[in-house]
Amino acid sequence: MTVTTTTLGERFVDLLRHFDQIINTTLREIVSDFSLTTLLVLFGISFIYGILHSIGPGHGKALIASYFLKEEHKLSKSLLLSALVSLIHTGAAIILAFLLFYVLTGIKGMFRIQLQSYFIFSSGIMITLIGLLFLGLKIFSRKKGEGEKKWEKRNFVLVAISAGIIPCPVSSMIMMLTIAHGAVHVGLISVFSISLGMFTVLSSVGLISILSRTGILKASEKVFNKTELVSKIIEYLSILFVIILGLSMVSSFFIISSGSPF
Amino acid sequence: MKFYKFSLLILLMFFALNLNSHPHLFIEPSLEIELNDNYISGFRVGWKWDYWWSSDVIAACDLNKDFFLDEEEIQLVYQDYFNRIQRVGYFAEIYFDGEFQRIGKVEQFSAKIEGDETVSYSFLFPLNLELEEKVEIKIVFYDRTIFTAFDRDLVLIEHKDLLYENVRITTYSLYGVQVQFKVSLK
Repeated sequence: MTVTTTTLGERFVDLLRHFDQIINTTLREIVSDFSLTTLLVLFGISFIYGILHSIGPGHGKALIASYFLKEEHKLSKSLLLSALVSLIHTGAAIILAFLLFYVLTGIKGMFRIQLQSYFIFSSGIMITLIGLLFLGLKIFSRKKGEGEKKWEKRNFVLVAISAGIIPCPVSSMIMMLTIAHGAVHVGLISVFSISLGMFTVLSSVGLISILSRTGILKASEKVFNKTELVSKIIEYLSILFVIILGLSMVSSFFIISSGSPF
Repeated sequence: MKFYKFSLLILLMFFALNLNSHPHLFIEPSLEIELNDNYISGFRVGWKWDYWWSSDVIAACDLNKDFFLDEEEIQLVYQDYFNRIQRVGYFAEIYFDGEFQRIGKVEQFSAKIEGDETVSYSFLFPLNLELEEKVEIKIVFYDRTIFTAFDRDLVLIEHKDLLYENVRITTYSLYGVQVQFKVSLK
């Protein structure tokens, strides 16, 4: 009667669901009967969830990959950016949870889901503007490094904010549940562990991107001896991709809001 | 060169996967046809929510904390935890012989707390479709915000007076589910 095949994507969703459920069950166990062992289990599960959460589809990885492909960066920068994105992503969730619990008490249920699409929209706008800023700097900074150096630090922070600003929904749900049960510390430990898992994946993405850029340039030098041209192509493609990424997030908001059949 | 090819592949994966988000809530759906003489009067839908949503609903709507939702509490669930998705067609699409059926408003909404402390919704998509001969029905459950995923093991409940043929239940756009079948009177 039923025809089913399991694709990689479906297996990923199953895995997410499985861990989602385990986190919830473990949290409820801890808030009703606290034990250090269960807390450690929660820490481990949250870490794995953080990894899964970041491996899955999302704009953060693509933005980080584009940023590190765009120009030469030190490997340490990848660790710093990933740490910032992870902290902003979960930090925003913690703030949101406290706001929803104590201040914005009228925002409930389905409205919270809708709230997520507003965050996606805002993040999309920011990413588009950052892409345009990169493009502007590239085109109008005639002398090498002139405008770019000045903007480098600001760009770094802007990329971190726009990649992480959408509050992590699971982290905010964890915080809401633990605030309600007077176990904020448990929630914070779980969310911190999720951050660590995310940091692991995002920093790997950054490192791979930096090494890939170097690898591609070296290979291009060997094959057709036009490193500078290839570097420029990579740079413009990365910038273009950032703009497309931002616009796609903005447009997805309008598609969702239209309410029309897909 | 091997590393270069490998990293290119990984990078392509980052980009290919970037445009979507992933779900954070999960629903196990069920479906049953309501028949009135030879008219399909509606589709009765069941949604069994995951623990996250259920905890939230119970905390906010089970006012007397007796793990039972009475009429007043069900009304709260309807207002705060359901009705807002009317604007996105209740995450659903119905096709009758390929023709899209617009869902106006659901009827007979009910919610209950199950024994495993999850919350289930039950509601009716009212329709008035004459079932003269065999017709093909397609129903899709999909949340375009990608916040909610529907279990692909949708339960299609049998009806004593109806014959279902060629039932196909498949994943829709990764996080949704689609059921397609031919139905006729027995």
